[in-house]
Amino acid sequence: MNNAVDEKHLISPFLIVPLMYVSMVGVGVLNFQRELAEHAGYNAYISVVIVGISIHLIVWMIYKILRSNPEGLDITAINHTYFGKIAGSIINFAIVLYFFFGAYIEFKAYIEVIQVWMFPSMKILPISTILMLLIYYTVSGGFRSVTGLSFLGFLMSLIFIIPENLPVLPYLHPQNLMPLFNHSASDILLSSKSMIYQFLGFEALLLFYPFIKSPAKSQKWAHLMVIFVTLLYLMIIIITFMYFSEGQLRQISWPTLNMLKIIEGPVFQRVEYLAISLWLLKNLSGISLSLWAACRGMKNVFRIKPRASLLAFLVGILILDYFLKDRSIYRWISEFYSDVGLYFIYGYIPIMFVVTQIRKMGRRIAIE
Amino acid sequence: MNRRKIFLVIILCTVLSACTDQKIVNQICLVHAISFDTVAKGKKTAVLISHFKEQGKTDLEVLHTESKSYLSLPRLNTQTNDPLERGQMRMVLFGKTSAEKGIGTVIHHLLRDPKFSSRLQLGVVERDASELLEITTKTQEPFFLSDMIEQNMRNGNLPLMNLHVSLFNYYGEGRDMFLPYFKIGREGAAGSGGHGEVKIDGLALFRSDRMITEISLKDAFLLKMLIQNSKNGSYTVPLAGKASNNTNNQGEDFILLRSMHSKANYMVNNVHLIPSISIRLKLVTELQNVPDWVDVRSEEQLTRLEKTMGSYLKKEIEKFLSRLKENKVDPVGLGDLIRSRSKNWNAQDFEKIYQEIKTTVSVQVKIANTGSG
Amino acid sequence: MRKEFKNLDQLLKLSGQSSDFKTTVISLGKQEVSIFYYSTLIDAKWMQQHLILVLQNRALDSEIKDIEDIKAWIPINDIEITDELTTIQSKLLKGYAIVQLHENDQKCALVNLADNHGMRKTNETENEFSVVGPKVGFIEDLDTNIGLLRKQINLPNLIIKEIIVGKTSKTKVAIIYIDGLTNEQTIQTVEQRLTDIDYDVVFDSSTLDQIMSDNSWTPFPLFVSSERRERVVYSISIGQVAVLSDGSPYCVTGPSTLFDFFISPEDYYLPWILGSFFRLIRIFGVMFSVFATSMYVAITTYHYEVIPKDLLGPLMFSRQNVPFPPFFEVLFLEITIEFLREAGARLPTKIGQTLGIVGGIVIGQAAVQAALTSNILLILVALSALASFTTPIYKMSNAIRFLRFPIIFLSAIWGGIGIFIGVGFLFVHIIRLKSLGSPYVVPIFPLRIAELKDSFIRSSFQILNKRPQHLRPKSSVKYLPNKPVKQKNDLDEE
Repeated sequence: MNNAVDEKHLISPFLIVPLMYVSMVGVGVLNFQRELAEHAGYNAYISVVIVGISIHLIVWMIYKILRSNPEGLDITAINHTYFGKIAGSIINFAIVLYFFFGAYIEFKAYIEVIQVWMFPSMKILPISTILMLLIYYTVSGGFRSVTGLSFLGFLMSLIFIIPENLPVLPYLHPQNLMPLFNHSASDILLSSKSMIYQFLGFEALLLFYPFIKSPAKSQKWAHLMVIFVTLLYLMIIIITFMYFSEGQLRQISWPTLNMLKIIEGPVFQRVEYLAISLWLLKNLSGISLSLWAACRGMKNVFRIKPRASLLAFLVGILILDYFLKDRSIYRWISEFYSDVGLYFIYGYIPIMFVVTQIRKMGRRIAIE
Repeated sequence: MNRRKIFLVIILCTVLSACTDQKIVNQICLVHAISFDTVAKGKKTAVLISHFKEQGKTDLEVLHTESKSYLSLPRLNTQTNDPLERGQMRMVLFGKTSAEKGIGTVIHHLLRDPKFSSRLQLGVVERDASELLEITTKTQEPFFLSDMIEQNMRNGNLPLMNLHVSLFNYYGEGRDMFLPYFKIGREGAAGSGGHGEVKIDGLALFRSDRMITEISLKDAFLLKMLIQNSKNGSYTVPLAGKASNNTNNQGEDFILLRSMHSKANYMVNNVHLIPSISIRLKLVTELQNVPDWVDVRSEEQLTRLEKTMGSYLKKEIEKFLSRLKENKVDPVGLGDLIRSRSKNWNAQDFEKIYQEIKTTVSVQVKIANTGSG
Repeated sequence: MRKEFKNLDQLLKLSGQSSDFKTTVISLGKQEVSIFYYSTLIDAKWMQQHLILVLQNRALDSEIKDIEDIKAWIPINDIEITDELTTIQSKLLKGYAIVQLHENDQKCALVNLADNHGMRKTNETENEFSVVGPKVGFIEDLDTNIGLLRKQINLPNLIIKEIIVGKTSKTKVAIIYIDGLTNEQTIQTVEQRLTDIDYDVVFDSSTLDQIMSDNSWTPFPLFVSSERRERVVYSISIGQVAVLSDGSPYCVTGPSTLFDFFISPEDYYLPWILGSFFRLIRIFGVMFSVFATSMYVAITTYHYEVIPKDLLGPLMFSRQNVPFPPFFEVLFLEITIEFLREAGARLPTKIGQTLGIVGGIVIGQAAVQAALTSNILLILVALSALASFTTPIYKMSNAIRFLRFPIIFLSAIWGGIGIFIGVGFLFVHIIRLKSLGSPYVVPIFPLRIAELKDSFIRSSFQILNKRPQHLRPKSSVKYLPNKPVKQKNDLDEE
């Protein structure tokens, strides 16, 4: 298996920052507060912290797994060496499908936001097609252009998320957060589960790791980004909890956007329209990254040209998007996806970690 | 090469087939305000729409419809040449009778529909809400009513209100909604001013989605002080003492104060069974109007004034709170306050004990500025 | 293209078919010397004075025995004695005269009598004007241009490599760089691309720039082409390669980044705070120019909600009687402005000015009064046209003018989302672009924080003492930063 990546395709370790950001912050940031509050009420911010810490552990494991294997190998190659040709390929194919559905769910969720907030009677096919073309254009430019779009998406969404909080300040009720602990641990764990779904996507690191120049240096950035994203989610959720009363939050589908509605400028009011448009770039970069990872996986497993598999994936998303009109199926897919993601992160990665450690020890014993 | 051509062809096809719902600004009819009334036959909805004709002048028009339910914008479409659009709506009015019957469905609709601005203002009208809309047409200003409310929130006694705040209070447990209360002056009484007949006369207090009672602007200041910084609100405090000296001029017996800053501190003492709350208010004021016998340069007199005002305000607030309890409405959010201090709080239980809650008030007034008086 | 000739006679016979090929036979005593030349390529007065007169004077004393004597006799440096037909043929076409002693002699003297008429002697930088700074620009003559460069880069290792490009024009093209500074790979790429070109006539260096470029499917210019000397000198000094071609007053420099196009030499002549401010204004102007009208389309077609209530009245009023949808209204005005620009560029200066007034004021005012457009849009379109002209490099300002059309189109279809679809395509496009193999948007992506100090802003010279690293220069330090004279500006100097 030839996994060596040409020098000119490598990105500098710092650029893992936008990549981690776009993979960990999805459309979910517009409505995760509500799902979290469903179980743990206004104590749900605790679950953000818990999940943030656990993600640190997983990122650390990912680096350990990848680093104890020869340079330039990604997870697909490691699967092959650990599990053999056939079992490895099956696992790799599952990973490819996982990324593909991740992209699809992200895409569908964004289209839904557009439909509800901007164009209720919009035809889905044309806009999906043009977005697919944009994704094709991005992904076919290689990992570098995916990183580039992510960088833009990162900047754009930062421009928005931080200042959105200032005009909201007069409407905050810190009293909402009190009493501090009135939900049981099981409630908090339940909402942690739905918080994990927001973080899903950073596993792409398993595939783009060989594309980082001196990858060891990127680890500190990766951890920094996990902290940053956790704080970001924490900030948004705390502000949301202070802004909405609990009963009100239960009725609102997109709390983050709803919060933006209060902002009014001299040349612009109803900033949520701008925010949704801006969010497009961030969102497309997340989808591009997932699809890039899927294509990379296909190339490593089945030696399929990435361009061909990219086209297939895009057409696949279009077809799913166009024919799956039933929301319940979509909901089922996304629930299944988040379950799989849960096992992927907390099952598969720790197992790989343990296997890696055992092999390492075995090798050490063999040498002695 | 070939790929690029396919690329372009796909772009062209998509672009040509895409046709979304356009809302070109001069081909829509903007609704700026809407009113809901209950009439004998059912429900009456009226909307205020605008025709922009000349620079700075806007022709306003009111459209009416009657139906079984509220929110019959589609029915009103039959009366206009352009589709009615609600994205620039800034005012929702309820007639007093309909507010007393419950406005939950409208509130819920306002929450669900993303088209409505969070800064939209709600209000209750003493008589017929559509009548108020008719009156505002004379002003030629589409946002007259909402501007009026906003102006009074900044420079007057009204507490911060808009759709978001109302929804917060309506859906939040342990607090109740309050809306501005409009009064239409008797015809001819207001004189030439045209729109002088309309005024904000205080606040309408709700329990759940039903209007229970209304309070005066004077009490609105007390409420503002209890829930937020009451900056720019004004209040008159009667002054006992030498007032008897010149009985012929009663206006001299009052101090008009303008709040510069205020802060309320709540302490919940006994959480179990029946809680008691002590409220400590700090108010920094500016004296706007003082009877001429008060020497504003004398420290001693000022301290006495501060004390008089403090005790008067304390008395008034206590009166106000007991009135709220009587009516079982909670615009201050005392229930929410207790919720935040106890682990097992529940709205039904609280409702039962609400009237028995003890509240003690202390007010500390400081005169920062004696003004020109 | 060129025929092979067996002997000189055949060549002369063929050349004689064109009417400007002249033969002068002068008799010097017993001898008859023939001179062949293209009368259009040579300076006739020069020939009369320095060739014919001299020959006649000398012939009074002695006889020309050998063709080599001519070299000693005639006071012109560039004389070549040869019998090679290809040389003779090409020199003849460059303005040399053939001096033949005897009929049927194969060996003859080539005397340079070339005339530079049609060439300007000097050039003021009219198209890239700057208020402060030198006004020296390049002219159409390559040697003069190289001389201009040499005057400011006083280094023996300023290398000028001449190559011939163009099958028909045989244009001399010079690749200029500083040896030991410019990255060799860049030089090689330029040289290889230029030598590999199969092209007929090089009219201007702009043609070269397009032929050399990495991607022809882009509206963006991938090389800066400038007529200002100091700009080219600066580029060479930071490790870029410059390409000059004979007959063109524009010099192409590369590899360039997007920011190079928004840099005016004036930025460096003003205090750095002002320089930075003007550069930010320019970049804001570009943003405004690209997005202003498409925002108008998006808002008035789809998102009327975002208009703040104080602006609603004026906007509604101005669009009240316009019969078209905003998209056509914008297209109408944008195309009008393009007409004006195009017409203004093709007309003599004075008429151009008049046209500007007629177009700008009369058409604009009339269009508003006839309710074809709204006056708010008129302001926007005029402003965005103005903003697009703040870009110092003309080619880039054209690209910016073009860019707004697809974005207007997208915004007419999907409103705000459409604009950002456009932004997405645009950004991915410029990320994928490369200029001589180096990335196009460099200080931003890949992010190089150290180079941001000369991108959106222009920092002070204390800080700008390093060459940009993305050019991979062989020595990165330009000069040592000078410590400013420490001044005590504290309270009364304590």
